[in-house]
Amino acid sequence: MTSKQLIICGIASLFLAACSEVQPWQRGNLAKDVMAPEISPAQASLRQHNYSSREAAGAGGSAASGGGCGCN
Amino acid sequence: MRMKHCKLLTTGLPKLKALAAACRQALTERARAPHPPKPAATSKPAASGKKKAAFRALYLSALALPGMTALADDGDDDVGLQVNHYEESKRTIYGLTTSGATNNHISTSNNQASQVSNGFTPITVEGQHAWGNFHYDDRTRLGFNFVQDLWSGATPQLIAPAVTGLQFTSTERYSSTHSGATPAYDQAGSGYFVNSHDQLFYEKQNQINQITGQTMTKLAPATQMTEVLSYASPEIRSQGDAHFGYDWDRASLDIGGGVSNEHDYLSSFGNVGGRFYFNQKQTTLNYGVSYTNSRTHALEFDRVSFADIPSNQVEKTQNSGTYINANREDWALNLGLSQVTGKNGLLSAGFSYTNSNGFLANPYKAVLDLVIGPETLAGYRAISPNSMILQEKRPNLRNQFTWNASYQHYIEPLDGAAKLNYNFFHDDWGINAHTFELEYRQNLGAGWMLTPRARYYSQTAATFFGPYFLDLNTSPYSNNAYSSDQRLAAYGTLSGGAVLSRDFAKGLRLELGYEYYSHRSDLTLGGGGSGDYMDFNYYVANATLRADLTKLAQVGGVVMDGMFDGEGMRPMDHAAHMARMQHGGAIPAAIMFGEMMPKGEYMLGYRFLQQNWGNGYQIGQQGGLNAACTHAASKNAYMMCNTGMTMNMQMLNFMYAPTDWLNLMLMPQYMTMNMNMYNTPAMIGGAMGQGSGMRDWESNGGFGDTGAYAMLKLWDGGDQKLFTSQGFTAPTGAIRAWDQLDVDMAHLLPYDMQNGSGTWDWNPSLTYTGKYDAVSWGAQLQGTLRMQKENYMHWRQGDIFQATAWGGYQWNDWLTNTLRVNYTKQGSISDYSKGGNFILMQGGGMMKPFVMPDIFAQNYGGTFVDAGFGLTLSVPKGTFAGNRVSAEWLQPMYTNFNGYQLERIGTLAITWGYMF
Repeated sequence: MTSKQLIICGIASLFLAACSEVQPWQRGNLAKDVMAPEISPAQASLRQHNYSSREAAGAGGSAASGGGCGCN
Repeated sequence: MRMKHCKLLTTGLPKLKALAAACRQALTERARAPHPPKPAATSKPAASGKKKAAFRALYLSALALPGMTALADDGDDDVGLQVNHYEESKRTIYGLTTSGATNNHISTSNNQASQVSNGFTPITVEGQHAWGNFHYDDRTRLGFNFVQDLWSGATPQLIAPAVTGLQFTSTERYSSTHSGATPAYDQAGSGYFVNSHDQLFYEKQNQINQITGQTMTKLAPATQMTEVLSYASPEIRSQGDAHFGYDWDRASLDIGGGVSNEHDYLSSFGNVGGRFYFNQKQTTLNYGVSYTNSRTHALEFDRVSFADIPSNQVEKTQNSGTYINANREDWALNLGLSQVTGKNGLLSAGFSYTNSNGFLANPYKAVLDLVIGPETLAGYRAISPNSMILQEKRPNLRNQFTWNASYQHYIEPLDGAAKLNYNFFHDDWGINAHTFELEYRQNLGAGWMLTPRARYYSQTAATFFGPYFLDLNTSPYSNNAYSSDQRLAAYGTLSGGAVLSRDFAKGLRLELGYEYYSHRSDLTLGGGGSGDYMDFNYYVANATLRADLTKLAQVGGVVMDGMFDGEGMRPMDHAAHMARMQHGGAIPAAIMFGEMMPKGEYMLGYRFLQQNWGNGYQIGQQGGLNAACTHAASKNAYMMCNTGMTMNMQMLNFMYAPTDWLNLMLMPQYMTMNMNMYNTPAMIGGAMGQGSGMRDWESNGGFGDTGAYAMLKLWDGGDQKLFTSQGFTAPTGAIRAWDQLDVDMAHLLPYDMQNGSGTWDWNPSLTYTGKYDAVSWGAQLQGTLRMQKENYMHWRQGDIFQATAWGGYQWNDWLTNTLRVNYTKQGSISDYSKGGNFILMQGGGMMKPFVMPDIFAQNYGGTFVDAGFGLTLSVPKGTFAGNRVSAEWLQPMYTNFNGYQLERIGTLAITWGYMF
């Protein structure tokens, strides 16, 4: 098995796991503070702003964040 | 009803403690989906009422599962404030150094590229971000953000071989220093050669035979490049945006928009996004579309040729300098899918596309264009002196694609979660980039959480990036696109940091964040970085304070309506306390030290003050002088006049009442100042000449002086009270900001554009308030006395005395109006410095300027009377009960200036506070 196949299998198995039903009452862990998409949206937007002012790819993928750099 | 399940939060049943988060989110969702279907089957029968509640909380929390998206957090109602400090390391710059020796009648001079000292302050940014998110009803929410960045420092303008002989001279600071890098653009190309492979060479060694007079030149490859820096004066970016959201049971929609404004860049944007939930909310689809329209209005750099920028991208206008005006548009689309992969895992993947068109270059970035001339030396072609520095040029179209995958997993034994993220970016400028991020969140107990993170990023260079460009033609440079902007080079970055947060009781959260970031050529994935001369590091530190309004309301005793069983902490009767606080009637917004709190209370307050000055001048009581401050009354031929000024002050107010008769206050403040200017005929006809590229505005800002006060109750007659405040401000505001008006010219900013007084100041006050039924009244005497003769810049602000009296009428349970009169007497500034405030010319030559009236100490202070019109809105019941917002406008009624000053327009004050 090549490493490429391994990676593909790994990703595929993750998606297979997704198909198994997780009942609503089994999702307590997913609703915990540490599982929030961002621990702090304000921290995340500050980091993103700094990356996008220093990197070519920084702005890509963050649609709707708005313009202006405050940098040069 | 809505608060019922939060009983779990506060009663502290050990087994249910872990459900706190679930419960909190459940509440929000519960309200949004009023009649959720019952779970089809529960695995265990509900043994007791409490257990039943636990299952219910779990079930509800599942409904609340957020989608993995960059959309606004649609959780609780909250307000927050973040302040942050960004600072770059000093850039390493290289220059030519010469050594010489004489041996056997032959003198040899050796030129070598080596590191030279860089006296420039690196880029620093002081930023702040305030936000609020509120639910209008169960399904409708509204949010806003306000962001402000103040930045200054040395920024790379172009790249050049270290041996090009570009001179490095600086006008940094108000005293003369000679280091750093403002390039002298003349002779950009003398002394260089290229070989047949277009490699660049320079005259490394000259040997002169002193007997024969014969000169021998040795050439060496010019491989060492350097960044050429230019200094940027303090500039402010302000961004305001708002979004509106609506939630259905299985979908949500967000519509938002905003504006970001800088002096040279105005950007407006709008977006629509949302989510769809499938498969019992195990699968979330999110989408977003955004549009941004940005306008550049930038002052053309002296001695940089803009000749070659396509006229369909830029339009030039003349207004005390040549401005380039240009537009760009960005459309972005993103799609994402997130999937619950088990009871502990969440997987998501996304794609985004951005299309940008118009003027995509940076108006402050330039390139070195080396023109190959006809002359040759031993087979090497010489670089012509016609070489020049050009403004960079980029294609007017860019398509960007990003693919993203992330996985996050809850680690049960540790009560922590890990998040792994990968991004691949590709655009049609030739840039491919990879981003790897790893974050781990650990609950530490007692409300503490630690989140360390690491990130690696690597990109390839744009096809049109180069450190310099060789040109066979004379100008204009023939390529379609060329840039030396380091953000288009090949490099890698590695960064790491951590966020430490603590949840305090009653919904307050404090976060401290730090990140260190290293940009390095040798971190490029697979090697092939563009060059280590562009390496730099930065760090960002921030502090964030967030107040969860939903939690605040939950702990309020009134809404808990006796659900407590006596175990654990019983929350204070919040609404009753607010009622006691408001007993004294509303206080006008601009009044400080207007009311005291009862024992044991804390208060968090925010105060915004905006002072405005117009574009006409006034001397003494004589107003209506026109904007041209060369008016005879001014007694000076000023080179520039102010045409308006705005000062914004934002204050955070932490207040604590250890006893009924003593309150303690701490008040840090943040300021921003903006001033517009006008070049008078004295200036235009003088040394500068029109079109010399002088900016017509100045900005500054940052932390101001910090106040610490104690309030003492002197007499409490029930409806009437008398109290005093004693305190001081510490000189934490910087008073040495300077401004670079032009490549050659810098000056220390005037007194009114600095962030503080520079002295320790004493602030006593005496306040009387009274109330009868719906009518309230009050009066206050207040002083600001400078406790030092001078600050370290050798000047002192004048003392201030204020007397005010007001009356208020409460129309109903939510609205009160106030009317007041305010008298102010302020002394002029005393300046003991010998040189005063001066202009510095390039090369260290100084000149006492007749710049603007506000650089003269005698043009400060005066006697003023203002009328204040205020209103106070209180929320009497519901989730936000106890919140109060006051606003006041102070209209100038009488002004008698010391000296010659801009007319006063008025002051706006807004305050908000909540007690907990």
